[in-house]
Amino acid sequence: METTDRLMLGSVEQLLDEEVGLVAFSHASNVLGTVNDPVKISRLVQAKKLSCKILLDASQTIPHNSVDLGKLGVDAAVFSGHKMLGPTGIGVFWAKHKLLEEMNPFIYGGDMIAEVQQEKSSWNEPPYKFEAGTPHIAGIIGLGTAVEYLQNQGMEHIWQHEQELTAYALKKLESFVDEGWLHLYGPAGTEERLGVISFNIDRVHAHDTAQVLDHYGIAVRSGQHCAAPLLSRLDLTATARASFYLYNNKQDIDTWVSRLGEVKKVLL
Amino acid sequence: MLYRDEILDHYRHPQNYGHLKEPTHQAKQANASCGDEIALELKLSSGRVNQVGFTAQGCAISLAAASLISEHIKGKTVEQIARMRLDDVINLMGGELNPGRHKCALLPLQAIKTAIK
Repeated sequence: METTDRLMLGSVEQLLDEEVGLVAFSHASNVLGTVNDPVKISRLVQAKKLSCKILLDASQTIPHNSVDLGKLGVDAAVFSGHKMLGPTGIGVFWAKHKLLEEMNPFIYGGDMIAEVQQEKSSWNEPPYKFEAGTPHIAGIIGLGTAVEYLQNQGMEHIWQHEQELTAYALKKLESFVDEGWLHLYGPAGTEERLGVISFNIDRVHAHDTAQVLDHYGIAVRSGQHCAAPLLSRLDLTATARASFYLYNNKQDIDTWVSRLGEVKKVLL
Repeated sequence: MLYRDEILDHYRHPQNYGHLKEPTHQAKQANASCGDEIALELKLSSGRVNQVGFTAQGCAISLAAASLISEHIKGKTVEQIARMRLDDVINLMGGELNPGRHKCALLPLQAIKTAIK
């Protein structure tokens, strides 16, 4: 990682050799908001002419922007339903058809076999060979509806909206940062950055910040955000994080920003 | 609100904070999900807690809980402490604690139980 909270792409080349089987990276950081460029990273990997596959974690970007997975140079990608207005317990594994054909199933059950004989059996075609047993039907329908809903809203529109809110929030927070009691983490501007803002109030634990904000009906996440190695790299124990989506507006941000001082008042 | 004056008072001025001269039992506990840490020291005599000392890093809830529990266990027997549960900690904290903060409040009790094991 560079100090600007961006990945150090220069090191990709050195890290790769014949031993590497899979290159996996996130399209965007759920902690810092940093958006990575999969095309650039894939090119660096492919230039090494190795047999490794490339997997993209698109859970942070698919819900917020128009993403054409087939054009990113990656072999496979994943994203979850609950981060895009869908139900919990469901997500998507996407891969190039050729790769799906090469891969073996790892769960056995109904629908994943084409033919069963006494001595041998053959797999059904993708995606069925990876979907053994009774599917999560309600989840699938719910996620499908969420996708439709988001697409009707317009993914570009959602991205624009979030960019606008992020710029608005960063501007409003500036004076607190200047006064020295608010710490922000992540890229300085909105360029190549998601609508998430990780923050800490000086000398206040993120859990306490979140609890006081919760009292005023403001939901932020606090903790290590399932990214302990990143937090320790940043020398932090925890952060609070506000994240914006299509249902948020500038008034929400005003409410959040106006209560940050309250956190200080209660705890310091 | 959860942060009543009593809780904040224990957070700002934790009781029994610091090290003991000659602890008979001690333990360290950490909450990996938020980075909270506590180092706890006890001095037991005839199966009862004589002195308690702790140093900790964490949120207001975990520090206040540590302070309140450290007061509570003084004079208690090892058996009495072993029987303490989450509900007892919540009661010490005034009876109100949302599930998201249970781990924070339990950390000191876990340290005490580990120490007397």
